[in-house]
Amino acid sequence: MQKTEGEESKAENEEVKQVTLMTSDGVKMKVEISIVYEMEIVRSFIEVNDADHSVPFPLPNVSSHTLDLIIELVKNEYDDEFMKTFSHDELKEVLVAANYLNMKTLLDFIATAIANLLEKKSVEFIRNFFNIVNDFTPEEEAEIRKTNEWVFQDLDED
Amino acid sequence: MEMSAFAGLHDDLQMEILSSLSVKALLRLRCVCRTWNSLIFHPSFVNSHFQRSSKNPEILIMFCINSSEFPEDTGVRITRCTIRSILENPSLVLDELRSCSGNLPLYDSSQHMLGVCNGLICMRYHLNIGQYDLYFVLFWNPATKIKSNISPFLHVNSCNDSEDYDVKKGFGYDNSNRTYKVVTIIFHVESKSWEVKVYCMGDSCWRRVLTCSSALPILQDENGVFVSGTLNWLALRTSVSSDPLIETITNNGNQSVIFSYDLKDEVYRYMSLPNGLSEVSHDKCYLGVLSGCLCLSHDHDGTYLVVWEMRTSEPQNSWTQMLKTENGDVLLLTNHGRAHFVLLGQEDDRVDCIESFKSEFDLYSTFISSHYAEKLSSSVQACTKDSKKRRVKGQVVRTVSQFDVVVTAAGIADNKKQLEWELWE
Repeated sequence: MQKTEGEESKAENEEVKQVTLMTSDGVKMKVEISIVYEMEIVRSFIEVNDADHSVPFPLPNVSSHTLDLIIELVKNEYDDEFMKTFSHDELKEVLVAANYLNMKTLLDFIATAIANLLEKKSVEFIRNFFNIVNDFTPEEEAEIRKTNEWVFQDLDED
Repeated sequence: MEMSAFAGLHDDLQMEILSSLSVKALLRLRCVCRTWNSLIFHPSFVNSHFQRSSKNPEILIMFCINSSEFPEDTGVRITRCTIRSILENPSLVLDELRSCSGNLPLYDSSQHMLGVCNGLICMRYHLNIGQYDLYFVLFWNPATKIKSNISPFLHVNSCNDSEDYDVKKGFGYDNSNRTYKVVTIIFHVESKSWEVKVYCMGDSCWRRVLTCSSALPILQDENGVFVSGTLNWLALRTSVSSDPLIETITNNGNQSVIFSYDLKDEVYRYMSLPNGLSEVSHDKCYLGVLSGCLCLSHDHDGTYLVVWEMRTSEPQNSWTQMLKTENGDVLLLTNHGRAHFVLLGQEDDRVDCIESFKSEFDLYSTFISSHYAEKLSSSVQACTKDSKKRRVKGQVVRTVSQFDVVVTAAGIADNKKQLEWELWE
């Protein structure tokens, strides 16, 4: 985030530097324009239409809670420690929102964070996490497990 | 694929996450469901996964233990780590090497690693049976722990003694023909001729692709350096016939060049060195790969070190000086099949080489490659902001194949002490 303006112009431009976003649960949130600019979907709209910033920009796929998390993450320059406080559902919601808002840096960051979380988890944990139903027969699964037994060692507790 | 609306993770987002996982995790996650099982081995996924793992290359350390006392310890061991971890905590890396179990059997022959390419290791073996020397290779993917069968034998007649011939070799990938190739150049001392034999992965024989009746221009013992479809060696271009086996120290006014072998067209050519370097002795120069470009490092009488990068541009290649060490720099060079930490002292302007791993494993042959990326991924590095973690001052400038260059800005005195203590512990 760049804040290069002097104090005076900063006060002057206070209004301009915020964009109002309307979340899926109907909350209007004023967000700093530097953060909004990371959201390609909003940025391209603002730039093309030179939009009136007082009219809320609708984000029908993002809840106010998720938007709060995203704003904090960007403000904290993608802080690992802060992200570690997220629940699994929050991680997934931020991932989906980052994809929808087309926030490339956030998407990479959160996908990597989720991958780190899943790296040493069991197959059962992963199925749960992604809500995937096992469509192997027990015999088929046992067969696959047998081919690479070493990959099932040294796992985290679920 | 079953997916609840709540999870809401579309296939492309699942792929985004999966492509950041290690090969080990992916081999486990084949069991999640049928869709994942087929997806994980799909060529386009394997490819995108490798692209991603290549962004965080690691150092690969490998050594062979051949112990008659402890036959169960016999085997090839391998571990990998980041450059940062070697500088920060080398003793931890050594501990890991000690504790990891062998995963590739030894044959009753001498062996060494020929190279690493696209996550695949090529091992080369040498046997002597009567008047023949036999060479063969096998390929090994350490991430999946899968190894190939051994290649056919390459026979070299050695009826008199081992000084009869000289062998240079290299390993690389031919992108046009989509095949891995092992190149062996055999120089026959008596007849003063050399031939190139190539083995393509999966073939039933070694092909002779080239013979030439002249002295072999290649002097160095190292394996050819693979970069964008070519294998490269430092060489001497000379009109006077001379014995290259003797003439390794001084060049006697001959011109140093690069011998570059094209894996696709199976031809060789010479490339010139940066201006002023063609007269320099071979043991002061090393070839390597830097961000996909051929690189040359030059040690100036042990005082400073210059790294050149070759930009390939038509009609002529050009050399760019990309790095010159200064006081307080720390370089991590891997070369001659082992690692050197080169520390430039602040007081005396000397380049000190610490052959770090050699002392620890001098009984074993050690090979270090520093441009390893898992095929199918390396461990994921988030942008860490862990302030508790001890950090090396400075930053990794570039990750390189033969020489990894780590430059620190300041505070070398402390680092140096700590490094030495941990390494020689």
